Amino acid sequence: MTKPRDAEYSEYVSFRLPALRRLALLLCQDRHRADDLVQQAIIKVYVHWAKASGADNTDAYVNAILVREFLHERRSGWTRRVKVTDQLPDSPILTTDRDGLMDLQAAVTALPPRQRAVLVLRYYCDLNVDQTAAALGCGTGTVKSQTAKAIAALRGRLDGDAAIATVGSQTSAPTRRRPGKGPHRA
Amino acid sequence: MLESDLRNLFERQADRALPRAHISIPAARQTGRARLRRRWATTYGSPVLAAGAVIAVALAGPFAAGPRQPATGPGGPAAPKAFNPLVPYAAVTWYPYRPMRVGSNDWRRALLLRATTPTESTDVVLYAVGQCRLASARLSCGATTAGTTLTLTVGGAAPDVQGQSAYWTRFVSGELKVFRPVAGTGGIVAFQYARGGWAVAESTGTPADVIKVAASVQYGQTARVQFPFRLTGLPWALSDAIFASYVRPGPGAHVPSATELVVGSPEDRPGTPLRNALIILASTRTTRGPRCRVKTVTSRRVSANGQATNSQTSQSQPTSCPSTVINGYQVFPNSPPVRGEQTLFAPDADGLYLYEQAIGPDAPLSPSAALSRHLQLLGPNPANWTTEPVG
Repeated sequence: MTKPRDAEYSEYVSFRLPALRRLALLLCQDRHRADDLVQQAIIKVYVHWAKASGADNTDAYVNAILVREFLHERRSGWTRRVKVTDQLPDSPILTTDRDGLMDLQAAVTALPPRQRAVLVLRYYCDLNVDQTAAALGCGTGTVKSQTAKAIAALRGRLDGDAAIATVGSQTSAPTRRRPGKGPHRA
Repeated sequence: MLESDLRNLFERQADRALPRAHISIPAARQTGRARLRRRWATTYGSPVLAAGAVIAVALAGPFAAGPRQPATGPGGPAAPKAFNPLVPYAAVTWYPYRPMRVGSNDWRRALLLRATTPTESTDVVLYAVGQCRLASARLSCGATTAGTTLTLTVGGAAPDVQGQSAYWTRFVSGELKVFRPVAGTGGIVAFQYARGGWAVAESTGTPADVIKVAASVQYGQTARVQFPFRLTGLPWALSDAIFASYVRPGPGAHVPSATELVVGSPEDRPGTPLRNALIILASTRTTRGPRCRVKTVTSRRVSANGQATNSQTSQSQPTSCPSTVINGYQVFPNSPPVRGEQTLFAPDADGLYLYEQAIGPDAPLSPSAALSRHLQLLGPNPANWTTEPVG
């Protein structure tokens, strides 16, 4: 009984592993943590394999497990101590990087986990509001509001950077990203 | 527009070649099976076990006067699974050398208490639950290469420590250099300081000193360490208090004379090297100023026949070090430089000595930026200090 189940599970997870890792990478923005997240998620998939394999859309079911594990991880364990701020690390790497996509990536990284998860599900997994709500286990209203907040936060941060850049300031990233510099805070 | 940029960004990120995966499907199956077994046991096993326990108690009641089981460890509080670096946990109330430095190490799995002079030392290491294994007359502690691994052979019985069995041991191997055999030491004693937690003590004094040190370990110090500074608004990569240590100036003194805090990334875990971090050290003992390099002076000598000859001589005359003022404090950056890492030194910042060091190739914050934007010094009066140095 266990052998066919295990074989079926292993085959499915092996096939889906690259996609799960990509999704985890987008959620975590850190490949080491992404692998940890996938490892935890596939354990849960094993425990709930009967439900997962019998679901209408197994991929969506497994993706939902991964996303919920991501959100749960952010609330528990050692990450409970971490205060995720909206400030970016004052990394020297950012000081010379003026590429727009990199700025956007940094802004996405700075988003709260739930808002980031909503954006990834909607704009990477191409889920509609209902599907995103089902994956996150929340209402459609929450998805809409979280999306709006995330987009506004990204706009605010990117506009803030652009405004400061046009002044011609040669200051480093730490100065550019000081609290209160972005117009969204004004 | 932004939405399309987001799609573009996510697709680019996803298209990037993924590094070798650190994911194990067999391990996931194994852990998953264990969870399923636990779930089954909880759902169906509990009523059966409960009924069995009731029957066992009913039958055993009148006939239970069997031989007493040997104690497996001290009563009272249990040893922690991990040491929070901001909590002292333990104090040694008798030690021959002072002051004593107390600090967590090895990613919170060991607590070091050390009183030392250049020639003498007293050391106690408390290990968290599960960090030590006693098997075949060998006590092995620590699992990482973070500096606190220790393997000891268990010899004869030592005098009881706090009513519990203690053992004389001999050093076999390990990274804790202080426990390596040195002539004239009083020996190493291993004992359980709390339920499930092993401790090891040594001293350069007599064996009686070692037992006194071990017996004076008081576990259960819950009052948090007070810091004379507060860090606020740190970047995420420095938002975690990884290590902390403080100097207790005497056995009865609770206010530390110096405190050190290392903040780093929450992603750093046991077994991973400390990548980027910031060290803050503050002391109530201020100093006069940094020691600068001896200036090399080129002197010109004039010989008797009137010809000038150049000669280089080193003179130990005081030289001025480059200093700057940040938040009103005179600070000396990179004086002295430490392996190319950025440091900052304030000999007297309103009654506090301050030292900062940025660790790592991509240090998220320079010491001067930390002082100007994130570090608040609370002065030498302990009444103004804080138990929450990060936040």
